[in-house]
Amino acid sequence: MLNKIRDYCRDLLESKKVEGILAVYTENGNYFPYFFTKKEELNNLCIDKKYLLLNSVKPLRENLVFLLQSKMPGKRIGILARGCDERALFELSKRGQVNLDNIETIGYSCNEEQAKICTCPTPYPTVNLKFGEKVEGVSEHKRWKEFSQLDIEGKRKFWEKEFSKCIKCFGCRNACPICFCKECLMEDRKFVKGGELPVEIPSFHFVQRYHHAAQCISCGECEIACPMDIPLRLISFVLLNRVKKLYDYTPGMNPKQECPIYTIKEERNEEALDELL
Amino acid sequence: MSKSEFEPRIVALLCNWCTYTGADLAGTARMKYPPNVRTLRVMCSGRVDPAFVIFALQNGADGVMIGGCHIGDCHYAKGNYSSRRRAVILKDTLESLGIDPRRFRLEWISASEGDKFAEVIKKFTKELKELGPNPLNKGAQDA
Amino acid sequence: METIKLKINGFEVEAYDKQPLIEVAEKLGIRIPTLCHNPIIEPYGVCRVCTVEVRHGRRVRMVTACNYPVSNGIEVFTDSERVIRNRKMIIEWLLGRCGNVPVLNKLAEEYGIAEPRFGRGTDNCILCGLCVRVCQDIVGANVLGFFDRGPNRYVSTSYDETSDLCITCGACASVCPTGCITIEGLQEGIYKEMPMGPITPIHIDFMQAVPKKAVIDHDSCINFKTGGCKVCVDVCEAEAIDHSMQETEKEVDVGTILLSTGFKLQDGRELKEYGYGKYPNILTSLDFEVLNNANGPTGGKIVTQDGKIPKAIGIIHCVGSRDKKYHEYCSRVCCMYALKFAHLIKEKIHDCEVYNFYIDMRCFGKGYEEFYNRLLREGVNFVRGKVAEISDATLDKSEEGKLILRAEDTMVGTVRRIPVDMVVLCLAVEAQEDAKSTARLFGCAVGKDYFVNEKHPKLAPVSTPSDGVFIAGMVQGPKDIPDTVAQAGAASSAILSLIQQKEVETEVVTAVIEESMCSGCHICVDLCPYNAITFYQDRKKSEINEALCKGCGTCVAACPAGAAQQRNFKDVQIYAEIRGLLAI
Repeated sequence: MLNKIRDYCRDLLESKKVEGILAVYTENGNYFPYFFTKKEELNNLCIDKKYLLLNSVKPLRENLVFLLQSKMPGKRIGILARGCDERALFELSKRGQVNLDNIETIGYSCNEEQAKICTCPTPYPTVNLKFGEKVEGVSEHKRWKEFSQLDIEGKRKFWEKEFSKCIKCFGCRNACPICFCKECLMEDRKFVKGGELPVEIPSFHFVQRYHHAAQCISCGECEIACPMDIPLRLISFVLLNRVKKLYDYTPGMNPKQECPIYTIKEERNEEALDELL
Repeated sequence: MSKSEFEPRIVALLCNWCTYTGADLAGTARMKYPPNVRTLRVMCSGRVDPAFVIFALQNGADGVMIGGCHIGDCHYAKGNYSSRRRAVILKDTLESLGIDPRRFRLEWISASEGDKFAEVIKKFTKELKELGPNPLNKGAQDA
Repeated sequence: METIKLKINGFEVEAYDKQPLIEVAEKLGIRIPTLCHNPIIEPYGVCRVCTVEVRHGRRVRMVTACNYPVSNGIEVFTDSERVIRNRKMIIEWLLGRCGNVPVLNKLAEEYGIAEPRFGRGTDNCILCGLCVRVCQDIVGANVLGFFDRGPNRYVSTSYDETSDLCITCGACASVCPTGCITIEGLQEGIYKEMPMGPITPIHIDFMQAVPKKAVIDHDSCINFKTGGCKVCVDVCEAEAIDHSMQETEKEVDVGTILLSTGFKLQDGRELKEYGYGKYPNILTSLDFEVLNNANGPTGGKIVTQDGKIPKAIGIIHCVGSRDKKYHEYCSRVCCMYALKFAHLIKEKIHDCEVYNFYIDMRCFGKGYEEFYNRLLREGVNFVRGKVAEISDATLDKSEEGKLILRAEDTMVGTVRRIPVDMVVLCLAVEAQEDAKSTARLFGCAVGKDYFVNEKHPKLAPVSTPSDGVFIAGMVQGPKDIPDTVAQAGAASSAILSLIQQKEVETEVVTAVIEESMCSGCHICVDLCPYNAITFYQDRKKSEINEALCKGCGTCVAACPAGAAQQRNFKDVQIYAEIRGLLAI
């Protein structure tokens, strides 16, 4: 698959269809995102290392595609995208952080093993799949069995234990492609205390989970980034399921579909909401 | 403090046009309801950021209520719609965080429903008494 | 049109060329008897009674005046000896067919016919065909026609069967000169549908109507049923009638709105025990007002449906109001108008017994209590107690046709049974059926009784939560005329002061976006119900138009970065408030 992708990218660069291709560059076992503009460099292109290309660049809080687009306005940019990359692209375009019109998405799927590592429910690009097969994803969090059996009090104790491990490294937020706010509520001193450990339970972790209730693209970056191994996405899975059930909406599946929480222009499933309250 | 003596603290975020006026009416009509509620006026139930709810629960409230106009009667046309959409997600979030979702309520009480306001507060206080102190509030538990 | 000159009975007269002779004569005030002529229907000349003598030069002719077109220089005689002789003969012939028709007998008397030479027939129809023509040409229903021929000719419907096409307009009966066509049960039918007496499709709603103009009732006008008639169009000299007019919607730009949509009276049929709509002579207060009006159907005479003067009238207060089954509130106006009714009845019918059934008398205004005391002296009966039921369960002959009221007189402590001839129900005033949707249209809320809520019951009684929208009158709640006028005055001066200012104060608590914090996610844009937020693609920032913002704060709550803040309701303020509430 790697050779096929390299050939395809070479063609794209040669035919000047794109200005360059954003992908992962590898050298001496290190890997980092790179904007390929010369075809010779393509030998260093790699696809087996996970690096979410849409991840925002801290502390600028802007993603690479946005930076590229603002550097070369109007130019077409290629991006070698996994499922999560594509979903992040769609969600960010809805939030005005990238412009989808000038992006050539070269999608390729992950294998089952990779899907398992990220706990990814859709390990392939849904719209722009060019290379690889659609493989079955993982639709359940690895600690869901343990978590779902707990009652309310049990859940509280569970989180008290998990959250008290938190060292406030902000890794979960920094790794998240959807987190692009310039000022973050997690750092807001009005809301949570600063410079103290353990964190305030559960406000500190609530912020990101709640803000991304209908935007989380299930890339798994937050959990991968967490040095203390906090199963943050247990909550995200619950919320995403609720949103799917209520509005038949999954973030990152369709760039045209509006996020149901952030629009009141149309009325959808309104009666069902009252029953849940 | 024994459980029977426990008096829950309720933070009620009330919409200026309906529920706050309704609460006012309950007062002017001399209706009786428990003194456990502490009201906070916002212009619309749509103004309520879920962070306020979690903040209140974190900082000593045993229950939080959002009061808004009935669906369709919003002074700002659609504020209560977005409030309701948020509230549904918030309930799920609270539940998965191990906070009893019954500690949070979204109620539609119009300006003329002073009796409903009193009734809701009565019911909510009773329910919270049964639930006991909010475990997030360490101070209350120790005392 | 060319004008010509002719002579009638020696008088020179001007007329249009080809004008029917009968019209010209009528203008002169010369009556020519006729049976089959009706100005709304094309003349047909079949009864021949209008026969006159026309001389043109040396030529003398006997013609029917109704369809004879006049021409220049003719000389007409309407009562010459020859004409009289001829007309007598025609009447005698007609009597030979229809000997018992009053119109013909009257004509016969006029022309001195004691006993017609050809005997007296027993038919009533002179076969003038007016009914057939009105049905075909005017109404357009095509129900009636002539059948058979010669002496057997008769007017009927197809196959002599009751026709489905007949719309019971009654045009045939009204044009029939001999009274041969009648409508069965006409009187009862009219009173069943219109208890206050017949109203023509074209009428002026009521004498105080503004604008005071005639309207056409769509449901009863023949034109809307068959497409025919349009007699009114021909008759109206101002050419003001246009049946093809449609309801149109007009858009008008205004700065302020006064909501004054009024009330409706509760439907009396909801209260089964009072038998409104079931027994005759049970009126709502509005019915009674119409009956009592000098411009009303009876000219202001208080009479029962069979035209008798009532000897006893019962007035029931609080029907549907102050009643937990219907409306808990007091309708506020009933006590006083009930007293007014009692007073007017006493004034018009001195010996009439008036019974007021009340819960309490609420005579709250200036001079009201005095009026009540005056009525007590006038001999009006006041029974404190609610009427349990109204029935026609009479005990003996003397009570026949009366309504029996049963009520507990709580002053005396007994149940009373009072027979009366007429009952007036003081029904509750209710909000209009569409009050809720109307209020919503203007951004106002309704209370539990569907009356529109004012902004503040004491401090802003004419304003509503929507800026520039004011209320006056019953739309806000039951109130009497002085209160309504006072409220309307207050509302209009509030409106005028707004207009006078030429500029409006905007909302204080608007939202603002701190540009440096805005990351350009435009979540707020889709949430704004007033489209007050614009997203600038070039800067990737959103901006709030403060003139459009009404300050709901929905965008503020949704802004993940906290870039949007509401004045006086900033996040930091609310957190501080919560802290204060929880004493931390």
